[in-house]
Amino acid sequence: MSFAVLAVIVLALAFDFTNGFHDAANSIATVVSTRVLSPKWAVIWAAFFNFVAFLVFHTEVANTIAKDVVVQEVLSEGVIFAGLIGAIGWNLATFYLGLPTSSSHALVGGIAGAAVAVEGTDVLIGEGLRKIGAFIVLSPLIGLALGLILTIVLQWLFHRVKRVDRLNKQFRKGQLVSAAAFSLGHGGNDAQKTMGIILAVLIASGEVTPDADVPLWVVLSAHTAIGLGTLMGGWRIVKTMGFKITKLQPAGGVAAETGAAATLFFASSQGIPVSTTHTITGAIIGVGAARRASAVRWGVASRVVWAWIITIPGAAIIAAVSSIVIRALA
Amino acid sequence: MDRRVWLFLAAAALALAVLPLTPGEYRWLNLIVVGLYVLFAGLFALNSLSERDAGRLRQQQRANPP
Repeated sequence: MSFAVLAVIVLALAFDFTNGFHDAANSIATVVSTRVLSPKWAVIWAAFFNFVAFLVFHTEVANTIAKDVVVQEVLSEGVIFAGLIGAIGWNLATFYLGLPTSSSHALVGGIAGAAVAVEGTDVLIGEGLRKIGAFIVLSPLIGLALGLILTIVLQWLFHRVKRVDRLNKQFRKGQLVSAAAFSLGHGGNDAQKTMGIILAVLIASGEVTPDADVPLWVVLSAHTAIGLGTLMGGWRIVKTMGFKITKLQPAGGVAAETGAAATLFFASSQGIPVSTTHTITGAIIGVGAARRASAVRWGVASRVVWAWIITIPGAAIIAAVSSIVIRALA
Repeated sequence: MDRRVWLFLAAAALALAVLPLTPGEYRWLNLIVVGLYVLFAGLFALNSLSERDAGRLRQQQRANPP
């Protein structure tokens, strides 16, 4: 294995680590804010389910990233490296600006931008990009609809219950299951994006054949990286996120996490890379919408829409510039 | 009108806008999403109207006690 291949694999795993670091908050903030688990145990809980996701999901999402975004002939080590630089650069810039952008969209934009800078737009695979593009919009909408429906169903089922405190206690336990399900979906979908990048570089370098499946060591290292990311830094962000979502009651947390988890399970089974952040945000907005208009986080909703519009072009531009620089240096 | 009705109508319009982009095998899902949001918008609009009517009735009863 050459140094260039090794460098791309290390960078891809670093990207995966930061993904776990950031997105842990999405799956466990409600568990922390309702004091079901302490931040420390909550990140251990999420990291465990991030890791074991490889036992549940196959590698369809990884194959989509590696084979359905751009034609394989253009995917050299340099292009993949530039794509990762674009995705990481975009994530850092938007993290600084406080925009809720998606690492997944940045990754797709980065790879596409780097490849287009080298060979032009002919290298883009229309069918794969259409699928990813449609679900950028559909996954938060599905999450929102499921969050809303589940909240209405729960309200209808338990509206006669007088002992609200006892009911909340039951839902707190339920949150352990729903948070685990969401972490499983997060690990399943997001770790596979890194697997896809590593598979692409292995194919490009001739380490594996183009029709090969994802090697087991790639699967395990990607899940380890995302799990470690969740474990190492998640709790810092969880503290902040926990306060932002304190308005959610345990029943709302269960509805939001279950709705988002169901969306992620479907997307992963179909090989569709989606944004876990946008999916859970959609589901939380759905829970708020079921209660009252003022409970909807309108500001967050509009910022997500902006994030949809600018992420892929933004990451693509950074990756294209990186690709041109790498080519010039090489 | 309740702001949520506009949220659901906007969501339905968005889902409809990406319909040509969606691969054929997932169009059923796209159409379900559009249908659900139109249904939500209709139900919440009705609820909003009935609440407004109930409020108006209460005001009239207070103004003209029996």
